[in-house]
Amino acid sequence: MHSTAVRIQNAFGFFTTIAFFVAALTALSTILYPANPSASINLRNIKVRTGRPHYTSTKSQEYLLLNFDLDADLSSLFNWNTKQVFAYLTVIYGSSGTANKHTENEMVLWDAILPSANAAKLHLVNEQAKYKVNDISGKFLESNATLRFEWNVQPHVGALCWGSIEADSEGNVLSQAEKGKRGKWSFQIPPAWGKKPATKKAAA
Amino acid sequence: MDALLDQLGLSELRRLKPRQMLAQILNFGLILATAFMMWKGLSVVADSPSPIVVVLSGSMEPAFQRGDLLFLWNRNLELNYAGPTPAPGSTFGGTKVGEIVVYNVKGKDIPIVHRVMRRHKGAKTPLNLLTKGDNNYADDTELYPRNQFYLDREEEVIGSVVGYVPFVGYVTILLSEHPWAKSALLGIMGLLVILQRE
Repeated sequence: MHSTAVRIQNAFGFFTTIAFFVAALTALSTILYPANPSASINLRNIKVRTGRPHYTSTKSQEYLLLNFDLDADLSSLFNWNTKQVFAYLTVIYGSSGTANKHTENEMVLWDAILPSANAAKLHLVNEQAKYKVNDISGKFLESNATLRFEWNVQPHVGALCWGSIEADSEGNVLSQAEKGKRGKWSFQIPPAWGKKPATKKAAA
Repeated sequence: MDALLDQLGLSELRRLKPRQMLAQILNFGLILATAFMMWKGLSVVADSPSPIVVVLSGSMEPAFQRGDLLFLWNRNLELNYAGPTPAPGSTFGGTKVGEIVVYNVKGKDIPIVHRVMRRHKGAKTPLNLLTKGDNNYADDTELYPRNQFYLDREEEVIGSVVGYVPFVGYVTILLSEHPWAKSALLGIMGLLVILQRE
């Protein structure tokens, strides 16, 4: 009854129960920390160029090249249960009513792992997209595009959560009206270099 | 037989009455059945063949390390979904860019946990995703089968990560990397259950 094995078993059982409750309370405690992240963005220099994905490939496709300024403060997302925040900037574009099979497209232009609250104040000037931006079909077809700044909070234990700042909705606190004309989030993808805009082609 | 048990130090077994012995074996079976039932129940709730996975590689470090436990949700397939664009990580309404998915490449058994970097959706095409590990330099095109550049959400992905518990799954890595540990653990567990007399 009071053998060593039983005692070890009891101690281990007690330890796991305590660990489980501490973990559960920690996971739940994150609702006590509301966050108010902010971001503003300025787009510069949007271009489309054609190129080949690899020097051995024969197919050429369009690449979107853009530079941007980003000011963001995600430090309020950090509480005692935040392991890291993964911040990323995406471009969303649709090409409905065209020959393109995929009408909803989203891809990451730039991302960063933010390990601490100090690293979560971002100030990027004339930053290039970190990844190649090419459509699945190889052509952008001059679609309308929007940028979205998103983040993923990854906890020490518990549920992962996501958030985002978009431009298009009215009264968006985060497009930062005080910055005047900065905060440009939407644009039309231009035609590839050396090609005429599609609208002109239709007229001619 | 008795002598053999004595030699093995299991004289305790001789003192058990057959009825007691059977009850203990039944108990052991009950524990196994409960565990199996909970696993399958979770599988039904999450709609995933494997609702809990253990991280096997360091490609998502520092967020996920080897041995961490991930809870998956697979009811965000985005078939017939026609609402407004849902936020990433929402339980219904589709897999978004920035979510972390677990996928099995055809012909390979190892589940891979990586983040969605691109998403292309069309009315008549499967939802195409491109993934990348946060800690990797390049995207996963190299991991996919030859001449495949995107994942099919419905066919290859077994769920999106919604919950995280550190380190708890490390025991399964130990068990799979050291086969003798598996038999040792099972043996000890079985003996303990049978020898317990309360």
